[in-house]
Amino acid sequence: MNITKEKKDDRLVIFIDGKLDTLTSPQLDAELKSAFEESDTVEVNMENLAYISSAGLRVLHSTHKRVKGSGKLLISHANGTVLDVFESTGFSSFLNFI
Amino acid sequence: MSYQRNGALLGKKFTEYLFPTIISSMSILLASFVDGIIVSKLIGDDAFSAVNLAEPVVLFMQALFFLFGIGGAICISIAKGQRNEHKANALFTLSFTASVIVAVIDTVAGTLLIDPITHALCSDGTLYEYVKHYALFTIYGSVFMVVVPYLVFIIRVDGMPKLSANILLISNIVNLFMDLVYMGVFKMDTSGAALATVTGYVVGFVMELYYLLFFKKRTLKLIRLKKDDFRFLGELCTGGIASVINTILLFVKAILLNQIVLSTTGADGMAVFSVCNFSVTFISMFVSGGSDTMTPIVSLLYGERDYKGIDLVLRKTFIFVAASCAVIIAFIMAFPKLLLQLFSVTSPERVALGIPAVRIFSLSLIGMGICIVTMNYLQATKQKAISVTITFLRGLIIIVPLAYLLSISFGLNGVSMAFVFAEALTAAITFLICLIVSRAKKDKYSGVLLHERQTDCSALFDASLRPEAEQAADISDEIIAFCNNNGVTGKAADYTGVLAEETVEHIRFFNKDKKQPQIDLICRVTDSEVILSVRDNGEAFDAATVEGDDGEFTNLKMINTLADSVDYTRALGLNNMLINIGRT
Repeated sequence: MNITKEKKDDRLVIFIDGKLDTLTSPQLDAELKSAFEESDTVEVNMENLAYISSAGLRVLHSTHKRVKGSGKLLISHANGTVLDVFESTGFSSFLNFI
Repeated sequence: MSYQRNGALLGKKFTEYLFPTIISSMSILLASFVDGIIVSKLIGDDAFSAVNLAEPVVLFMQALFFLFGIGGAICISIAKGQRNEHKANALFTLSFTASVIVAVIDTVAGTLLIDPITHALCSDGTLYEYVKHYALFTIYGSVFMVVVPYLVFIIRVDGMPKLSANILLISNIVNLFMDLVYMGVFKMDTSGAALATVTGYVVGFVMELYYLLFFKKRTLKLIRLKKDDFRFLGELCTGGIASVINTILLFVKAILLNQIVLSTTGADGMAVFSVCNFSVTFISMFVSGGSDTMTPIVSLLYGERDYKGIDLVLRKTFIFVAASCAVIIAFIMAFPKLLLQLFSVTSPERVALGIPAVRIFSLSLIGMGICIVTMNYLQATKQKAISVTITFLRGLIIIVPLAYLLSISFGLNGVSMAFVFAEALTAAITFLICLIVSRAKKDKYSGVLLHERQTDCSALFDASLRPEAEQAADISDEIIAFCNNNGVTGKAADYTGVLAEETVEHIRFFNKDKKQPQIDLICRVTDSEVILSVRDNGEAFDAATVEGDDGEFTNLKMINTLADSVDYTRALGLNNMLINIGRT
């Protein structure tokens, strides 16, 4: 998985590319922690994310809980199977999609 | 990294079952051997002869517990492999009830008919009372003599081979101790020997009650049977039929061959032939140990249609049995005189007669091993007709006429040669029958092992792996690529990959801080769905109920969310998860 970051207006955008699985999710977790130190609003762009497992969902869930009230986690461009997973698991009901 | 299926998980399971199974066989044979010595020392040779004459009564009970024990174990394993828990429990309930009922009938009928039975067993007036007392006390204990060994088969199939071996071991130790008490202290006759055996089994039954009432690991349950469940009775009664016939034929063969040996070579030949029979009894501990270990594992894999797994277990069994036979053959070939001396065959005439006879006879042991393993394999995979054919060929049809004919020209060596030819011919005929069946029904079977063709499955992927994060991540890539290469794309392929990762990760987390298990993962593509079958030897879990207690989105939650259906069963101490993913 490749992660790149870009400052855009009021938020920090994290672009993830490839697979978000049990091996790569700790990397996203670390990136999200440092991103919220830089910005109150972090957008995770999933346009090039092909795969997400429960390990990736847990990172998003724990980040969402951690920043609730003090910051905002946004998910963008989720598509295909990744979007299906969010919908099937109910994550689409509490995560902020843009 | 490319993952291949290996025999690590099934090999470990085989080894885990092998030692207790051999201990079980050994304890029965040694107890019977020492029992004989105790009876002859404490009461006399006549009592020992009487116990041997009453053997058919014990053999009849053995046939009964083989019928329900082996038949039950095979059918239950197959049902577990098919993830049919209700059928497995119904088979357990039916076989348990049937074994109790036939044992009670045996007690009542045997007690009422004890005089005609004794007359049929013994024509010698001096031994009559000894035979009657032994038979009667054995019949009184029918319920324990049948139900205890029956349950030993069931407990083994329920994933507790050590407990089942301990039950037999302790039963036989108690038997020998009580022999000394009843016959030595209380001066009982042969009734004491029978009562000691029954007492041993009563102790075994107490251990089994603990299994039935308190054992948390027990997966088989006694259930209230529905009318429909009685249809399994036929399957149950024929499941172990080859083993039952084998037991009966062993007895018939022994009587006929003893007659042939006695009539052609007299007492000298009979003394040597007894040594040959002992070598069969000795090697049987290993041959039966290997094949009895194999049977429930192969039945489970047959139910799961895991034919590669069956091949792995069968190969391991053949290697073990062939190696055991090779060691015994090498010993007999190198030290025939020593073997004869062990059984007090020391006179120069008998030694001269015995050396070539036992050497030739020893060659039959390898054929015997092959035939018994093959018979058990075919029985475990529901090829009952061929399995029964093997039993009749080697147990009666070939051996008896051949022994008679060859003994006329070659004496005792001829009888030994008959064993070699009978086992070799049986193995060859079995191979031929399997080949013909495989060719004649090529739409149904593939190969000489008669593996059923998986017509509904267009592609199969299988791999063995360890519960490690890297392997969990890798296997999802491999599964997705496999699905894509076999016409499954998009959501179905991706979900299958995610589910493969989740199952491996679940097993890893569930066994954290414990011994890391091995995992076999099989993926099948059919026209309508993708089936993921995952087996591991870790801690038991129930896929439907185990959830994280901290509100986390666990691997099992993910599995239950994404899959169309999830089935779980625990069989032979293995977790088996079956996950279905629809293709649309």
